[in-house]
Amino acid sequence: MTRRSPLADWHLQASYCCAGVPVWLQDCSWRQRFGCKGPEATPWLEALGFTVPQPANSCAFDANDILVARLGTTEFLVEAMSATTQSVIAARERLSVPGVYPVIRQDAAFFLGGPRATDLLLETCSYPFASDARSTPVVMTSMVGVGVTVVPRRAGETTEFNVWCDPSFGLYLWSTLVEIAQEMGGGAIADGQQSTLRGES
Amino acid sequence: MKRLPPLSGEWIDRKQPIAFTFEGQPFSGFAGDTISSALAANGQRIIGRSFKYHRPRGLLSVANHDSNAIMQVQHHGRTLPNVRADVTPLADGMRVTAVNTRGGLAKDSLHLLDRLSAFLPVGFYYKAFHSKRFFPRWERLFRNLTGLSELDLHSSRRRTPKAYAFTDVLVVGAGPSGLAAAISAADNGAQVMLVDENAGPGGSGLYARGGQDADARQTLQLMERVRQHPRIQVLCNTYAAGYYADHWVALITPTEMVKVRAASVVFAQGAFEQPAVFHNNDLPGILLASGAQRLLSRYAVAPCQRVLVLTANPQGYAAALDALEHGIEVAGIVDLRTAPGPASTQLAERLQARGVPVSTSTIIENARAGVDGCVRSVVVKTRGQDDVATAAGQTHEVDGVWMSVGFAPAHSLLLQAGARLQMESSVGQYVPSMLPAGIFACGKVTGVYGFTSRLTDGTRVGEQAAAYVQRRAPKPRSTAGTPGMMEMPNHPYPIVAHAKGKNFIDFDEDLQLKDFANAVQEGFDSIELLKRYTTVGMGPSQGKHSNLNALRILAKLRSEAVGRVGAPTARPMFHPVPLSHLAGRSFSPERATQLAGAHEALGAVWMLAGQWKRPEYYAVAGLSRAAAIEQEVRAVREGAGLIDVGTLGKIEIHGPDAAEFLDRVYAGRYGTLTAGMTRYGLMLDESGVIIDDGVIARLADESFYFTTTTGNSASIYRELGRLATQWNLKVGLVNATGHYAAFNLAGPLSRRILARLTTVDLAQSSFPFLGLREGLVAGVPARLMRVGFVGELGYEIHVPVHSALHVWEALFAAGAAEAIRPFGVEAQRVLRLEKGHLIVGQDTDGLTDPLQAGCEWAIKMDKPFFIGQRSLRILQKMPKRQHLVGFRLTAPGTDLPQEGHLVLAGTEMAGRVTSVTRSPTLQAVIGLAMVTPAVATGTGFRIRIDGGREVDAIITPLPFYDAAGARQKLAEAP
Repeated sequence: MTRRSPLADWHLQASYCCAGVPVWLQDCSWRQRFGCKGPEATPWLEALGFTVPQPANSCAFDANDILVARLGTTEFLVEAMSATTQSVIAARERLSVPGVYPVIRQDAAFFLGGPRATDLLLETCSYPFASDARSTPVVMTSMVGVGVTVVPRRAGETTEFNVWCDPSFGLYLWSTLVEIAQEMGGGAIADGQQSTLRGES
Repeated sequence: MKRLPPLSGEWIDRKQPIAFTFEGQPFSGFAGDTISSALAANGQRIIGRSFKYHRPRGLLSVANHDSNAIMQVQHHGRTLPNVRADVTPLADGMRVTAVNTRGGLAKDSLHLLDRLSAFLPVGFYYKAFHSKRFFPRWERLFRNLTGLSELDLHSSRRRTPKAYAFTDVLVVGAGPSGLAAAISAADNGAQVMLVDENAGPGGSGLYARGGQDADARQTLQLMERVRQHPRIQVLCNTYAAGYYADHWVALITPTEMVKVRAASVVFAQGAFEQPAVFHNNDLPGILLASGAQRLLSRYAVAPCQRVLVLTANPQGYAAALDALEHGIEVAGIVDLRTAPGPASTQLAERLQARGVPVSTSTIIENARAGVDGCVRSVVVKTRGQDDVATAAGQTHEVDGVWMSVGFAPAHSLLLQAGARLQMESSVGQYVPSMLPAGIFACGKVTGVYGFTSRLTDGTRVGEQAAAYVQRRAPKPRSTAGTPGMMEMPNHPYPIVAHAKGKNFIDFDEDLQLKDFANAVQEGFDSIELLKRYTTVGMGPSQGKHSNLNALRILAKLRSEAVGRVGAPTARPMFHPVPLSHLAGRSFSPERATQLAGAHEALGAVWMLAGQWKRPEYYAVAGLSRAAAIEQEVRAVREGAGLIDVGTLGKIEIHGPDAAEFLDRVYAGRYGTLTAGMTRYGLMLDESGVIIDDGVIARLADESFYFTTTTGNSASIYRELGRLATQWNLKVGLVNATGHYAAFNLAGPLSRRILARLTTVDLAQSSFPFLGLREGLVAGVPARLMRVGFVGELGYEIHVPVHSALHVWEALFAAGAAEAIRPFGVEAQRVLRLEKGHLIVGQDTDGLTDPLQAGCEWAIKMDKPFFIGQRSLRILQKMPKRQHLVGFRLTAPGTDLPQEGHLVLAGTEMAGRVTSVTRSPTLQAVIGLAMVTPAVATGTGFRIRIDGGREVDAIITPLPFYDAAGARQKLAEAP
């Protein structure tokens, strides 16, 4: 089955920036993910071996870099953050269990980072990420008027941010953020560049 | 005026001279100067012209609280209008000019208006400009005469970014009480943001010295503690312009607007010093005492050589002592009061010891100008009855008058925050009587004026703010609150009547004392009416120097206490904000389906439907809009068309109570709906009004998938979530609106095309009309629904959004032989109207119930409950107010009516057109109209169209097209 990012039209005319920029965004809509909710969602995920965070609005990453974000008492987003996707795909295909309801997740998803990422957030979002003392927060807030889910993640000295939004808002949100990032000397990066930008080998 | 020798703590850097021009003349100043202070240092006493009478004006507050110091500035190739000279730092090469002049400041030809003032009383335009014939002439004249700066229309466009910021405690105002509050809050563990509109903190603690340095030294110590405190962030040159719900405060910095959310806010903004009112009280050289002290202390500028101080409080005496300290001769103290208080008396003794005469129960009756237009002398008289001066008087030759007769608390933000105020007689000003949770106030704004008292007050309040943030009780203190000043700082009526007027209340609008009397005499005798009629407080300074005196005058004219006449409402922004700060990036979210690029390639002409960007139609070279739409309609009626309906709201509901839930929220019955079938749904509110409609599909026993109208999806989902919680039903709701793409493949050839791509058996026997099937389309998991919104055989195809383009392109490829074509929203509207289907929100309004809309078939009154059922039972027993009917124009060649045009019964209004179109299929103009029952039972009516013409319509049964519904149930393709 052919999948296509909600930002595909943008990428057709994209101008990507190079390494060393103060703030960058990467389109991660292609990642494998699914959502589920319902009274049996927690035991079902645990039975499948996922690391399920206990408090609402928190998340956990396992050794294979699988994210389980608890969006509410009984609602979850599960996403393979790297190339190890089998467990996510397998679980999604088995999502027909009493008490577990599938939640279609065709999000536009971004990865935001760089030393000035927090400045970009301070211009676009009214959530105090810098003073959120929780170690693995899941933040549901509004960014440039669009409802988003954000998972901050420490990367060395800086924090990087995974952002999800409804795909119909994807192009607007992405374009707006890229425009602001460009004003800050950054912009969009193509796949696989974030390691270089962080200075990793 | 002159620059004084270097002073300890002055804000200027004498090592950095700056050259600039004013009205074309070269001037110089220093880094750290403002435009105002530099002009004063150069002896420029007239800095502008008044708005209405073009009277010469000079510095007044030196704090950006008045409108005298507004300039036009050219710098670095940019023209900046309405620059606030009191707070704008001087920069090298600035070209500064006064605003609102004709021929320059010195030779302003419009100064003649001052002589015509008798013919231009307040409200004259209400009486003069009501003539329709002459209004355009008046408008042109006054648009030419009025205004402040001139805009440079060629100026480059800038988008000013905005920023969010967060803190535990926001302290507004960095005077003594604000500094103390910030330190106290931070010492108690809170993160503090301290903002001040001035270039540096300290406030009156540094400039109002009274000839002594003790308070200033203590203020400097506080500033140093603030500077070194790790939990205090200081923002200078920044003012809080508006307070919004939940402790949101708009901060205006020199470069941007910062939206701060604070857990708690401390208002320590102090008070605006108020002018006295006497004849010619606006002459250049007459300043507020605090303004003169700012010039002296911050910029080392002596505003005059010989000054008379008009006062009614200790602050005026202190200002006179400051004048002496800086070598300014004090001609005398004129005290409005009969018996000055102890603080004033103590200071008066010090002045008298230095040879300064002090007189009480006296007033300045008038001021006179010299040849330069600035104050040259004043006449001092004894204050008599009714605020009129007695006959005998003494003339003082002075080049400066300093006024210190009282203060108006800066409580605009407090009011916006929801504080309540009451008049406190011991200080003669409004003070907070109730503060909302998380809001605190200290210092002069609460009526606390003594220096030590303000520090104590700030410390107490800072600790309380920290305690509020930390959700603990504040620490107990030995005394509740702090004592105010021992002496009243405010004179109750510092206003002197004069036969020749020109005793100005509002310097922005040139409002005189008599203007208020006239307004009240004409019946504008409440503060809100008076404000609007006279425009008091509506100029650039927003009443900072006029509202309090206006209240006093109104109270006197109504023979009431000031506290009983109320106060005008202060809306955000309470202080003018540069438009460039607001003209940032506009965050107006726009939604687009996955197919936006594909639509664009097909020639889509876009329209906005709510937040959604949708193709209105697809342009075809050589065809008009109407012809292109007609072709799209014909394609659907005769072959096959494809429309992107991904904008529909799409919601899933799962759980054992899912059917029960839908039976409660929709008027139809869904418990009996079998899996694999769909049913129309009508959603009502509690009053029985139609709020939404859609198609409900049963996926399985405990799972449904349903659509809502495009514009309502978010609000409906929110409301359903609320109801699910309220009813405590076992259901899970999923808003899949943006995550599913949806297309409607419609037309007699649609089955043939779809059959080439899908694994679903499309035969009529396996997949009947209103059926739902799940299977693959072009290899993508899809939900197919046989619905007939456009009145033809059709399939609504729902697929995951990430695969939408793939399926869309596959459908076009599969239908190439059948000449499949895309159709847009406009063709869909025509098609559905031919079929007589209503659109919620267009053919219904906020009062339309299903009985009026002819949708009785969609409601099941025998259900135990659904939202709106009780109201419908009542409505069923009442006569209908209106009825939706179909109509057809008798002469289709006539002009097309439009939605909203009136339906007439005789000469009476009898309804309105809700939908209308020219039907290519029927070759007629058809439409829907909401009409009175009397009209609905008749045979026709008239419609008033543009230009007042009328056309005839006949009432026509619905649907207009395919009444038997045979085409949407088509068994096999023709």
